[in-house]
Amino acid sequence: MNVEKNRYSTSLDSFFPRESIVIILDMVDFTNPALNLALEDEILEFIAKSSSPLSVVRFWRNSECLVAGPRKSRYYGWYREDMAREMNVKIFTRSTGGGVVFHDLGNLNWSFYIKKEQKSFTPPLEIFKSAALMICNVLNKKYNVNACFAPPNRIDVNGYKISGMAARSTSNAILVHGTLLFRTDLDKLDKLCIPPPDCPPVTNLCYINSELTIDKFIFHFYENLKSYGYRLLVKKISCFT
Amino acid sequence: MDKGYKGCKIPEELYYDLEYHVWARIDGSIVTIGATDPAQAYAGEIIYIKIKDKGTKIERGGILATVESAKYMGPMRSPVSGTVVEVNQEVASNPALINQDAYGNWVVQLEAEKIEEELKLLTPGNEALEKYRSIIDEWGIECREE
Repeated sequence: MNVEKNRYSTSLDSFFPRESIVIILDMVDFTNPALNLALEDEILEFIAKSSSPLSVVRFWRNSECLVAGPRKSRYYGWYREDMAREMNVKIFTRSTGGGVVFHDLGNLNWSFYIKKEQKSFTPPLEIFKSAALMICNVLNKKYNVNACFAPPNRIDVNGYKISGMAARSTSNAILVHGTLLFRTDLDKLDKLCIPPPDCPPVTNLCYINSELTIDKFIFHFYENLKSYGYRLLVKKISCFT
Repeated sequence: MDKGYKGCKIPEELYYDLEYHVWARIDGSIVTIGATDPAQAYAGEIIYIKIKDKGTKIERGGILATVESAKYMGPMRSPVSGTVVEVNQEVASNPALINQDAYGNWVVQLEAEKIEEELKLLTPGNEALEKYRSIIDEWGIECREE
């Protein structure tokens, strides 16, 4: 158990340096996709320019929409354009790589914005693995759901996908973000999305553990970070004033 | 025959930046640069690359190109300071060529500004293979079946 705790602690250190303040932005009530996606780039830029050791975690949700990476590839999932038109679901573009994902209020988006002190090569797999570990640690410790990192960029539970990740690195900051299916409309998701090759079926966390809610997960996420000695600043933001 | 480890080639005649994982071929003040074989294997299929334009001045460690692979967009950094004098347009339109042959498909050529000084920061090919063995093991990759 201690070995496991130490391993996780080391992984946390590589993500959020001990001396940094971790700001947690709870923006789950802020559901405008265009603004949420613009904020991803704004916060990354802010972190990159920041002179103090600072990391940001943001939780956010989008009202029903599709979110696409900047490019289409045979390696990525995509969406059924005719169905999106018929169902009047809008498509937005994000700045990180990858294909198309469905968002609704049953899906929690999480984002980690990390300052890089050195201009070294950042292995993508390490970024996805570290991010996945942070999510899995909370799910497994508090809710015993058996979540695990499935390379290169998924979190699976018992052979079902619950989260997909994408990332972007600038000269001195990294954004890694992902979805987390709590209570998404899977019928709509299936109708709209074409999964990437070799992708397992998706499921909602509420089917695995009915006690799991978005609010509880966020609470346990920062309680977990706090237990590792981080200085946290938690802000709930519902709207801009 | 190129030397290598776990199918990853590390040609001896090149120089390597083991922090940025790019190779450099020195020809007077002109430096040809590309991604190393282990780096392309680690990145996976490269689906997009945006390369800096000709005439762009870049410091060592500056961004030469932005690369997208496996849902990750990240920078390819320059091992030397200089000005971009040539861009490989074939790679720009088909970046997966880097996956096929990382050394045959260079990315840019720079007119180097302080090559004598910066060459000391690079690892010559005859030393790079030993260092790459541990990196390849640490990353857990295999470039191609041996």
